[in-house]
Amino acid sequence: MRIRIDLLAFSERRQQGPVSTRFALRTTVLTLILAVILGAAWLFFISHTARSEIQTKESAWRDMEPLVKAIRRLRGRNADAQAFLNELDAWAEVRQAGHVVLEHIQRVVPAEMQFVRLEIRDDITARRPSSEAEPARPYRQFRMRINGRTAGERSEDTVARFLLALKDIGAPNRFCPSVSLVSLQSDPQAGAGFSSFEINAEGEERPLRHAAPPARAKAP
Amino acid sequence: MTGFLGERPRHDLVGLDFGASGLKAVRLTRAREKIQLVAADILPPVPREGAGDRKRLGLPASLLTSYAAVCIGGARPAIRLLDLPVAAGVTAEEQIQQQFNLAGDFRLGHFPVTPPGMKGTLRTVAVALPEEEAQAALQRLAVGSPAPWSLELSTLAALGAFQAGPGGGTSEDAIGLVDTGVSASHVYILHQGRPVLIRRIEPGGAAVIERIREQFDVDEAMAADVLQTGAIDLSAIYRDTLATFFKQLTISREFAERHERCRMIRWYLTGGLCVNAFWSQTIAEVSGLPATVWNPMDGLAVAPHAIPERLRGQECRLAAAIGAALGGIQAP
Repeated sequence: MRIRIDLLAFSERRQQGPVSTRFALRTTVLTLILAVILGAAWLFFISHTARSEIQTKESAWRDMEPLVKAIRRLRGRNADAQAFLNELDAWAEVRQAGHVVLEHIQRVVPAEMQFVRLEIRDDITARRPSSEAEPARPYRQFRMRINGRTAGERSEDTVARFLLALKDIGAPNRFCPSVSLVSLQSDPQAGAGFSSFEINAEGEERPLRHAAPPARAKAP
Repeated sequence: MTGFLGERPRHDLVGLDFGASGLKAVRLTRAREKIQLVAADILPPVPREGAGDRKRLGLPASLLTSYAAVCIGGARPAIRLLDLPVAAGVTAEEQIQQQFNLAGDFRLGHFPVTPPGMKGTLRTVAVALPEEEAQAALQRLAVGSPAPWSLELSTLAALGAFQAGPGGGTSEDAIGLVDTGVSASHVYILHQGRPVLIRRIEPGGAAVIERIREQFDVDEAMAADVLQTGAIDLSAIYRDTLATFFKQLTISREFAERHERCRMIRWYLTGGLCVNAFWSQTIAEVSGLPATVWNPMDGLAVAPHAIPERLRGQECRLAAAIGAALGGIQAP
């Protein structure tokens, strides 16, 4: 038996840890206040830094804005010029130079042959599209029409050789792979032993390349 | 904030004995059911403050822990061993209230100690502590560490410590404990571990100090020093000053032996006068029984350097603080 009479009321007991409740509360509140102050200071610092940076950038932009606008303007012009150049290149690609054609024909014309009329055309035609949704497809086609006469009794042979030679001009990229003899008949007006002929020659259809659209000017 | 405290015992507790001669403090810890005394000290008396004064108690760091088992001494607290008839319709508390016949605000408590053979009667140890004194001590612990864990009477706390030691025996022979305080001494006679007589006898150690001061014409501090060193035989002063005490001691022994039909074999001594070697000698001579100064630290593991060097030989003054701390650390 051990006598012990505790006269302390239960309500007089209080929780007491290594640190008092009041100290813990004070520390918590102070920590929260300190955290809020530090957070506010950090936000103020960030805001101040951002504002300062914006002002610096705005100042730099004010200095650079005319230059940037000029660059944009020049880029636009450059794009237009480039588009124009592309278009010219597209035209040049399909164009059949007339002097080149004449130079080749000159080499293959037989001595017994005389040209009365030479008509060269390099027309641009738009092929009708299969549907309305498709755009019209322009192309270029070389056409040549020759009227002339030959001397001698073997006019047919002379015209036939010329037709073959004409077909081979520019091989392998022949100018006019399609050559046809329209007419060959004796020409009494020119005299005995002369024949007049008419030849049609056609080149292949050469579609026009679409010129590249002008490059869009990039924002600086 | 008391809901989760429960009644579980603490593992680290400081016992504080608010006495007139000083604030006795003992810190006990419990680990793996082993109780160790880790620090002890006797500090200057805590001055009585006015109501509402919440001045904190300054304790050395070695004694500072979260909870304190408080005990209060002094002249006003009362302790009695009461035999109360078990009557229908009247509670023990009401009978105790009538027996004490107290005027004013008191805290009352009791602990039944009825022997197994006693029928129709409740024998109980009853205490009354003035509310004013309880508040004076508790106000010192109102804020921060330590918080109050228990509140006891000093002399009863000392008895509790004694019962945890030599007073807990089941021998057929009775033993006595004499706890000398400043204003009065308490005499407990225990038979088979139960108190059979409790008596408060005046005067206490203060009268002895006063007599030494007068006889040797020294100041109070020097008188206390004379008492402590034991260089002068104080037997005559004890006999002269405490004649009433010795007479009551003898009467109490005879009453207990006759009433309980037992034989007393020894007095154990604790309290302030035990620091003087002639105290036990005088009691033994007067009562005709061997008297032994009981060291409340016997049976306790004491950490190295737990007791300051200046307190060597004064361990008996720490009985109440040790008892209060033991009670809290071993409760319920």
